[in-house]
Amino acid sequence: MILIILQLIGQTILAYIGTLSFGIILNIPRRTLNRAGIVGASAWLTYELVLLCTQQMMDKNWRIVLGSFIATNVIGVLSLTMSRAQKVPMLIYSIPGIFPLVPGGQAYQVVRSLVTGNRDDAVANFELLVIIIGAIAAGFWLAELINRLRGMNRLT
Amino acid sequence: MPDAVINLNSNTLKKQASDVHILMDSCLLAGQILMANGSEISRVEDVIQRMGAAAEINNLQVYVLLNAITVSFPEQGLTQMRSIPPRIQTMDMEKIVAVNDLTRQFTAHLISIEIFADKLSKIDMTIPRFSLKLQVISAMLIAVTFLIMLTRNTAFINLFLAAATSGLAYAIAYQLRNKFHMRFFGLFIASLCMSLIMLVCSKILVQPFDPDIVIIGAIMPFVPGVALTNAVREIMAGNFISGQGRIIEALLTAASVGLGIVLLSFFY
Repeated sequence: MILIILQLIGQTILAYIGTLSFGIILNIPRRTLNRAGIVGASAWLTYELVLLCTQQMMDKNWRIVLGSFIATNVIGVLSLTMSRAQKVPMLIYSIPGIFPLVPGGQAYQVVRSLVTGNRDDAVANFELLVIIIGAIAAGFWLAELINRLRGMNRLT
Repeated sequence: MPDAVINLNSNTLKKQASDVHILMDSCLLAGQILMANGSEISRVEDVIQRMGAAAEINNLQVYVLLNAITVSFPEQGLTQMRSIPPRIQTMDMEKIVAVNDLTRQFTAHLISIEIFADKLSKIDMTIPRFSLKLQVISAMLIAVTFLIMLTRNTAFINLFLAAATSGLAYAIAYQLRNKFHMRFFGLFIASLCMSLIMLVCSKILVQPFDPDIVIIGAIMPFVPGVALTNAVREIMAGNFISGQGRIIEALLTAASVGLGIVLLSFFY
């Protein structure tokens, strides 16, 4: 149990560093770097928690999809709150925050399997890629709905 | 006498027209900066509509594509188009923030249209970028953190190699993109370099070194995950043409990186 908690804390710190570094590559303003890191870290923590809680219930791929969906909700809600606090556009927080969740590695795996001739692997990876991206987009929709229910419009 | 009247009329017309022209220019420039730095289309349209509303332009029309913006003021009889060439497309979020701040000041009538246009035209020069050294270091950090997060592998040699290759590859891709405007070819060369380093290392090093694990971490700064997600969100928002363009862009990026890695991976 303690091992799992320690692992979660470590993962969260790593996600914070990774998101902050991606923010530096995207050249987001210096005053928003820290909060962008927090958004990314909390999204990754949510994702890991969902993966842990549904360990016995579902197939691995569906756990990833569900985790992406719920974590994207967290990003959508948090990044609007933070962008209101600092008067910057929402995408300053949502693009670095989404970075740990997006299936970039999957896209690379698809190309790799195609070139090396593993047709079946390529098709399976591509299906998973499309479903994850759909889950992320749907997560942003739900987040926008929640934001509107809170009385906040998306564009500042 | 008729001459004087005509002169007077043309002068007033010119005065009015010049204000409208400045507004048109700043609308197009603001849209160009936003689009070139990776903003979504609904934001660009919204910014231009707000600027028109603040300057009391009725019935303003705006049509934004991935690489062109058209703005029309029907009552002034004025329509202009601005193309956004692919070579100026960077991802520089601070410019989006700067345009957003300026627009907010303008729509609150805190600054006049002349000052607004002046500040907008200087955004390209005044916004600082993080230095290349810092960007390379953050590419290394991304590689190391995502290597641990995605594979749970903490062997030191893997972490070190992932950091080194991804830093080197980032520097190469950055220089090729900025000096020669070859984005996809730069990515291809960068990933070819990664693959070359892995090839050499796999001949020298033994366990726990694993080229597949190192590559998963090292390509993380280059993979088009965010681009793909943005493309799908764009399509779901109803901008089908630009969404397709963005999907093609993301697929090309994935293909460049994947091809560069795979070309040499047959040898190890």
